[in-house]
Formats: sequence, structure tokens, C-alpha cells
Amino acid sequence: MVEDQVLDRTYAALADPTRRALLVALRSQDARITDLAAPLPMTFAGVSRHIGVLESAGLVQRVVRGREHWLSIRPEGLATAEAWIGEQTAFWSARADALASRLARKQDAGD
Amino acid sequence: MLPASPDAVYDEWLDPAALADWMCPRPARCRNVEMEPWVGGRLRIDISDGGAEFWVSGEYLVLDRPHRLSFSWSCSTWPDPSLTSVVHVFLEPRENEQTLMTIQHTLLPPGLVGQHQRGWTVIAHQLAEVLVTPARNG
Repeated sequence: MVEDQVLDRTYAALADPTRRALLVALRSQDARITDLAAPLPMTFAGVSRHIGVLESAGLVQRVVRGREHWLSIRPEGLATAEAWIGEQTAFWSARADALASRLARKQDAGD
Repeated sequence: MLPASPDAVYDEWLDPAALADWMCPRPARCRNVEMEPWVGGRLRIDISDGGAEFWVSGEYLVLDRPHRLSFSWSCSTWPDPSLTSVVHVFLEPRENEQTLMTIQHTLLPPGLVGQHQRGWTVIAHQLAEVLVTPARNG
């Protein structure tokens, strides 16, 4: 089954290299937006906007501790995308195997 | 790797009887195959698999014998009927009358049907990039 809206947002989130870099950074440890913005040639507002897209896609989540906003990866976020990719990979692998068998049989039959 | 020349493999994709045989490996059965093997032509396959009946349909986008074929692909089990994907099949000759077949299946976000090169194949790469980075412990 394909949850099209979820996939659409995940696609948009992953299609940008900065957002992918932010996800990779968050996989190592939780961080605040200021921490994430520091190594990037981008304003706080710019990073904040990218984080917003990642949050909408369900890829990161935010916890407020006092005045600080801490971001962390939401592992279930990539599950739908991974599931679709897995489904199609399994589908085509089975068909390719069936085609290979069919061609081998034809070859043996001297066709 | 397939034990036939690219031309022979190409034939397997555009012959309705052949397609019915390998597109529905047992226990699935292809109930019906409608094929218009030209660019812009339709493809539809009715499939029954484990008691479920569904269909896949699409349109041929690229037909470049014997190197490549591309077609759009939509499945009746998907909740959004307007959702579409593109399948690219690449056939490269190898020694001893063999063919290396590469199937690239791309899910397109709505609105990107015309841009066959983008979509989920790009994302699959990037997903892998995100996933292989070791996650933190604890």
C-alpha cells in the first residue's frame, strides 16, 4: 500500500542536500537548531525552515526543554518510503527471476 | 543476467503471451494482458494473486529496441489512483548471448509525471546515504 501524501513529503524532505546533511547530523546526536546551523553557511532562519520541512515529513521531532528546542530523528519517518522501495524491489526481483527461468527453458528446448 | 540476447529479452517485454507467463509467477496468474506496443500505447494486466484481484496499467513512454523501454505504471491497489510511477528497463549485451537487465522503478510525486529522470530512484540513493551513516548508541 502506498500512502501517497506521506511519500510526497518524504520525497520533498530528502530531495535537498542540506536536509539530508541535517538528518545525518541528527543521527549522531540530538541537537538544537543553533548547533545544527553552526557548521552550515546558512542563517538560523534558513536552517529553521529546513527543519520545518523535516518535521512536516515526520522525519524529525522537537522537544522543548526550558527555552531550548531539541531536535531528534524520528526513525519511523523513513518507514513508509523504505516499505515502498522494498515492495517494488521484491516485485521486480521475482519477475526478473521468472523471466530468467523462462529464457533458460526456451534455451534448453533449443528454441 | 539473462540467458538470451537483448533482442530476445526485448521481445519478452512486448509479447503479450510471454509477458503473461513471467509477469505473474506462480501462484499469481495473469488473467488478461492488453498491450499496445508503441509509444503512447497502453499496457494493462489483470492479475490474481492469492485470492486478490488487481490490475496494473500504464503507457509506453520509450521504446528503443533492443536497448531500453520505459513505461508508466500504476497499480489498482494504491490508494491514490492518480499516483503514478515510471519503470525503466535497460538491456545491455554481455558475452555468450547474455543480457544484463536493469530495472529502475521510480515513484513520482504528483505533478512530476513528465520528468522521468527524477523521483524515487534519486531518493533511493539518498535514502541509502542517510541510512548507512551509523546511528548513535542508546
